[in-house]
Amino acid sequence: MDCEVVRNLMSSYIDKDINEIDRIEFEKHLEICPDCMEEYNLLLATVTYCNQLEEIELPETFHEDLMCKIKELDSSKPKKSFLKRNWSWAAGVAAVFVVAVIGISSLTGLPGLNTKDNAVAEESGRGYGAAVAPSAPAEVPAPEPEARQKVKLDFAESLDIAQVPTADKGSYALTMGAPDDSASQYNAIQSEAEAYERKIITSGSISLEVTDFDNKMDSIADLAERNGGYVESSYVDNIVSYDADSKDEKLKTGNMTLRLPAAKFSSTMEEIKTMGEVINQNSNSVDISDQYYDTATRIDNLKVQENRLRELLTMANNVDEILKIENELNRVRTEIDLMTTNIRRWDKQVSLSTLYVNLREVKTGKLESVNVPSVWNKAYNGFVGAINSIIRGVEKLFIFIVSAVPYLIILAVLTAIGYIVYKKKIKNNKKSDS
Amino acid sequence: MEAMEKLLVDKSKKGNIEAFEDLISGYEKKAYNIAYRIMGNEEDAKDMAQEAFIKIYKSIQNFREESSFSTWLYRIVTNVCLDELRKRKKANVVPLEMNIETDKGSAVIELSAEKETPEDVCERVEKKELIQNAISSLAEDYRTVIILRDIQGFGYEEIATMLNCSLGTIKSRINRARNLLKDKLRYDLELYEKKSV
Repeated sequence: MDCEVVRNLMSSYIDKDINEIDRIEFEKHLEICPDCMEEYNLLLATVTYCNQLEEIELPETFHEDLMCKIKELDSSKPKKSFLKRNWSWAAGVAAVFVVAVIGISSLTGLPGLNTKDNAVAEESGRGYGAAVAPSAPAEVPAPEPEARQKVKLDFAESLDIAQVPTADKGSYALTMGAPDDSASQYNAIQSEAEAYERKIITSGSISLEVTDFDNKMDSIADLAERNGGYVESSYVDNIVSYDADSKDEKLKTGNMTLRLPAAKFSSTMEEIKTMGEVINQNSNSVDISDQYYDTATRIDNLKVQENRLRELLTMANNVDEILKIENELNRVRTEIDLMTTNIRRWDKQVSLSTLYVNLREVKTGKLESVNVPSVWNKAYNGFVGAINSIIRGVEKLFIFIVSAVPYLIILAVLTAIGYIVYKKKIKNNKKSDS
Repeated sequence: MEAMEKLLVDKSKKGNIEAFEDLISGYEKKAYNIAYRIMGNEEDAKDMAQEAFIKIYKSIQNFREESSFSTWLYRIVTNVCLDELRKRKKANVVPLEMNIETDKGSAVIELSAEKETPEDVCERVEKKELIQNAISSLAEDYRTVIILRDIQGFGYEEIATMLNCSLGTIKSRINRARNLLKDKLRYDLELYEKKSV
């Protein structure tokens, strides 16, 4: 072993961190090499002196000063430890907040509040809906005109002024009523009706949703004819409509104007109602009895006058008188004709009521699904809708957080700057203390 | 780690100041001494030791219990002191120690806050201060291993953990440091040797 190696091993030897073989070599070398020996002794002395250095005592106030500083620290950083200590509580608050945000945003999109399903279901379930009155608003029970017309029809032919029990005029008020009241009204009216018949022009409209459009159109026409009426006009339109599934359908709508004998009016209407889903219906009557009978009376008076004049004519002597009488006759006759025309027209109207039928084609499948959304379907839709709302809520929350990041960054930078300044101040204070 | 100490560590982690106080009170003296040896004077030792303990208090939650608590603690103390030394070096602080030659042998004059009398100067040419001054004049890496090994008596492994170096590095560093110290003290030692002999 040479001196250099020995020098390098000295420290290890002193620490007894040397293997057996090296140790023996080392000791052997020292015995024969005085320089190395001296170096070794010096080194050992150095280490020994170091070992013997005594520990110096703590300054007296060391501990108190230290604890003071630590307690200061503890009170001056409540934010950090507060958050760390109460992190579970803070996390709970944050979680509640997140849930609330999602919940509110999903609540506004709650399914079942205004779905088309609900609206359409209601509509189709309607017995009779808002009346779209083509004419006067008075609603009259359908069978009533029929009751009226059971009494003698052919008044136009007879010149007899029928009895006019004034009480009947009061029953006009009874004509304003709901269709469902028809039965009781019928009885009431019948009891009051005598030979006097009311002159009532009845009209009505009915709007149907039907599935088998063309057949229905034909059957309604047949029905009208069977009942002694006829189709005055009809009109069909192929329109493209967009239903709930956003598929465009070619659906037909049709309008028919039926003239029906007044007696058959209500029964025909009832029959038509069975052909499809009634969307709305309406019927009303106008009582023209007053003007009718006034006119009739006037006609009678005029005819009497006419006869008188004719008699006078036979007694006329000269041309002058004849001319005067002729004029007068002319005038009277003209008036009679005019009024008769009116009477006849009214007769026609009274005897044949008008019924406007509107048909709308729908698809059968659609009707059924709209009619019966089962509870399970609704629940399932609600469930899916809620999930969608939650997803939308999460998206909104995410957008909110991301858009808040710039503000958070600015806040963090400012806080960091403030914190660094604070720390520097503390350090400077410490330095100036010592 | 001892069970008692582990309990104190856990409590301190949760922010219990009393537990922390108990925990560190056993280490204060040694920490102070390490700081004193590295910094070379008591003022700095006090500052650095306290700063180290405050740092320990702040970061005790990050103590991962991979090493023993004492090793971790002394590591922080050592690093706090070394960081301060490096900072001062960068700021070109006037070295606190100067080697001068006197007729009594080489001595190291230490600058301190108070003005020193000649008596003080003479007194300090005693073995203890001699060695301390010699140590202080070492470069900080060597200074540190000497302090930890020969003054404080830590084992190689512990020192390696504290300074975050490999075992081999530590051994060679100790060797080199001791030789340097030996050379510095050579004449004084020889003086003493001759005296005692």
